[in-house]
Amino acid sequence: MEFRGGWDRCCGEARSCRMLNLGHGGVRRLSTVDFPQTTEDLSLLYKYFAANQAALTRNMKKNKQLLEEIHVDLDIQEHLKMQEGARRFQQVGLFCILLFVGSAAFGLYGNGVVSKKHLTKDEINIHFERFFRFQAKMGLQIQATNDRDISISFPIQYLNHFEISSIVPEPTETRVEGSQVKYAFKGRDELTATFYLVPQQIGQIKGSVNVNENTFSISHFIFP
Amino acid sequence: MNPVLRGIAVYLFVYVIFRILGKRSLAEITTFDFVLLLIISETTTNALVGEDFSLTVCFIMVCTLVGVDYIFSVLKTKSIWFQVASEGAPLVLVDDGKPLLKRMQQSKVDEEDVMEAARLTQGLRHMTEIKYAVLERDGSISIIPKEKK
Repeated sequence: MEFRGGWDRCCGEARSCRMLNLGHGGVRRLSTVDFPQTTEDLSLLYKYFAANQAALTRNMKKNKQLLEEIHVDLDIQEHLKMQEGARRFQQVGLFCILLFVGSAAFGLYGNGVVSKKHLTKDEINIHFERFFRFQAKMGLQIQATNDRDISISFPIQYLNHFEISSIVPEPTETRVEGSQVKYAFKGRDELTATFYLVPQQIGQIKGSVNVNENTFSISHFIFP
Repeated sequence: MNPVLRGIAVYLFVYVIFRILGKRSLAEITTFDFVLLLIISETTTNALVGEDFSLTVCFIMVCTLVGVDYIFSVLKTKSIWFQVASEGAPLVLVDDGKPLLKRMQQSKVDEEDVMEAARLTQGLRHMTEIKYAVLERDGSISIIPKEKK
């Protein structure tokens, strides 16, 4: 049997389709010119369409095509390539969302394991956030042991990037010395002073903390 | 941060998120989805206005959001590419009673969704009675029944 031009859809008059169990509408471009008459013709037709379907699948895989192209009697434009692009965008997007949530859970944007930083020198401990968010309140905790008064100072340039929300406990004295703002606390067995700071600038903020003449360099990255 | 930039950033972020979730994300809203939307709107409100509750910021935000939306709608009419990229395109899911499974899988639609739409809109009982089922750009499924002989 020879398949010539004039291919048409199988639907509507697809007796042979049903006989071959190809599925109504499942095979495209069935010949209506040389309609199969004998069992041998049907067998040949089945082989032809099986090969055709395999070629279509191979072609789709080769072109990295996910959706099969169909011809429908509707005035719509499916833009299949763009829809496949949108599908890939969705997959990448979902991965990015997972990455974003995962990194946030670990504290890449503050309040987590990754963002917390701890410095120690001469029984003085400083806890601060390396990463934080714009206009969110973060704590800078200083633990020190000293019988005498404890003085904590920051460069004015550093404090300019923050709004000091509160200091717990309140310092006994606050004064400006040169380019430093000095906070004095009464000496006790163990002092834990927490400065609650609200970042007023986005990006890298570098500074230092002086605790009883010990200098600690600190830096934060503030996300928008 | 400048309120206009903040408004644009939030608009684009929400736009991208809902594009990632796909067409069907808003087509079927359950009670929980509705509550989730309320939470999302509350969260974005805080990010939009921050601690500035002035009337000026309110006006700036409304104008920014409406302005960006208007620019998007103009771009959609000017560029088919932008329209398809931002809103998607209709997709045939059933052709002559045969479900196109790859397309359904990609669109996160199953045969039950199609049959539900067929029952609700056309009163059809079987898949074979459907000529075409099309997933529209807004996420709804339109059904074209076969002509009765």
